Amino acid sequence: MKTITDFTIYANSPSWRMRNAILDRLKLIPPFNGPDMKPFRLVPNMEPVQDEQIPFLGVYLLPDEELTGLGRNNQGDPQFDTEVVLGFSYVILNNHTPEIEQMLDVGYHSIMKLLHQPGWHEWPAVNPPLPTKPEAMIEGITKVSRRNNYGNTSKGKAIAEMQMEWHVSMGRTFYQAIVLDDFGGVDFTVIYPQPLDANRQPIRAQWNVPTS
Amino acid sequence: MAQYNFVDGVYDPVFTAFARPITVTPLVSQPGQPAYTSRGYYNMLPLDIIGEGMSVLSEHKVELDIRAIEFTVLPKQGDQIDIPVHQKAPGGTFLVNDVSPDNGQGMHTMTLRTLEAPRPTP
Repeated sequence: MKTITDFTIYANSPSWRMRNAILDRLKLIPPFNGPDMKPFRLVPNMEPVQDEQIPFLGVYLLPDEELTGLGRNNQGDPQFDTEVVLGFSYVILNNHTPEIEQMLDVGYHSIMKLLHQPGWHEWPAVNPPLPTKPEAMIEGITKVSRRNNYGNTSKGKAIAEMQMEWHVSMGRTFYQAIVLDDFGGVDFTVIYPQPLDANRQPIRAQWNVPTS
Repeated sequence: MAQYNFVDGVYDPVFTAFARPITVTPLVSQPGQPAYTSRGYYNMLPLDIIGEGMSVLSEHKVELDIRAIEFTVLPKQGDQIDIPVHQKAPGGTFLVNDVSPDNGQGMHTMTLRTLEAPRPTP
């Protein structure tokens, strides 16, 4: 039986950590590491985007994250197949129509090129005690959707957005039991039920089980 | 019969009261021809663009009303319009993005797009 010292329980979910890990990688590569890029966005609809916040990249956890139960009910630790929708939003401004499409495509392909990296699907653990074990893993990307949003033709600025969604399979997520007391022994008693033999003595046994 | 002549009886005095000077550089409507001055009624409206994850890109719509009778050749999409600061009201440099048909009363509404440097810098 695992104990709390055998694995790390993070404050945040695997999908949240996965989103942040991907964003941390995107911050390092062009065009997202450019000098005129504005702060990255993690939540899509908290505040309207202002003009001075363009250009920017947003990486969002979109509805719905779905967990599908694995195994038989009421047996073993709860475990799930987790599907996450990761949304990318790259917003730029350019009055030159062919150029704006080309720039949006650069943003799209920069994100996709992350998949060239052999370790794209995993990243080091954030916290001890397992610093060398990959902290979370992507099992696969089951679908990618991409489109350019040029908004409304009557808008006053030539703002355009590259929108993309990754449908990410996070593989199995486990919620292992946290057992804080060691399994040290068994004390059991066997006795025939009444009224077969009221005088029969019960059988008692105690087993001490070394656990270290 | 209509009691008012919209072209002369309504829009002319309204433009005299509220229109402001503009300079049209006819890059598309009259290629190679010099810029010329005229007047128009300038207005800006808030506009929300819905983005990824139902995010909101806070935008605006710039409109310029002009009287057809005051133009030999109407501006076209791609022409440049300069609207200087006037009566303490801000202006700017714009590209014509859309020209509506005549409203039936001798007026066209143009939708303008702000002319500014690309972001990020290519």
